[in-house]
Amino acid sequence: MVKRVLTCKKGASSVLVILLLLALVVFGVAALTTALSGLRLGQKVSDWNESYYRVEDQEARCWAEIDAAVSRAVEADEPFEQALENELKQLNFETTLKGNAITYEVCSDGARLHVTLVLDMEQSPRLRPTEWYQIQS
Amino acid sequence: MNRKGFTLIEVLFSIAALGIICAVLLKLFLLAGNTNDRAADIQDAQVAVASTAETLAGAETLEDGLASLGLVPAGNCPAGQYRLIRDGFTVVVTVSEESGDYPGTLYSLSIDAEQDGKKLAGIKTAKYDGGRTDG
Repeated sequence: MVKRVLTCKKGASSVLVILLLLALVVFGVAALTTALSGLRLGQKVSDWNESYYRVEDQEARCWAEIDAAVSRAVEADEPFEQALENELKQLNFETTLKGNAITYEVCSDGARLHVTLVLDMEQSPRLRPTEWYQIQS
Repeated sequence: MNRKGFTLIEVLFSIAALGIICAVLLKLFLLAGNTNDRAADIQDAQVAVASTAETLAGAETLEDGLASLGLVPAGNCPAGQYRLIRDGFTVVVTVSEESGDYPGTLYSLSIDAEQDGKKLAGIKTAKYDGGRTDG
């Protein structure tokens, strides 16, 4: 029975056409799936970029606030280090003052940035970033 | 009389059936191609936006950053809207000055990449130009 079916040539071309169409469907679906994965990845990269630059936005605002605090400390009557410590305490985000280094972290939508600014006191107080890295959460 | 073979109706019917199936398959492949092109455009637009943002962020001042992109502010203040062509995309950089009691200037930046008037990628960030300079 099996031998008869395999050796019979009737309908062979139909079988070939059906197999060809099946192969085309499989390739078509595979191509579409790959393209959709690429699109999803692109949108994810777009979201990551947006959240990274949003946290960098906050970081720039914190830098400006710290710079303003340094300026106020320079003009204060008390010793600079004490005045700076007091000014930094009044900011609405947490900072760590160690020697002449001010460290702070900002986070937004799961993206976190760790920044260290060094206070250069040679001529006029100037903040320079020395450490700047993103923390994956 | 030899009766082997197909009638005209049978042949026409099978050609029509194959044509319909092939049209559906062709649409599937075209859809995959268009989706691929869109994904590539989004990723390229992201690169254009990120490289513009990094050029501005890495410069000493915002004016220097704009100058390295070939953009010249209209007046003394760099606030305004700029357009440049980067990697085949129109990159729109919008700079606005933030108010605040800071020794330097805080700028708010919006960078969008467009193609044929359609926005493909965009970010919002800020840059702080410290007010004090050495000496």
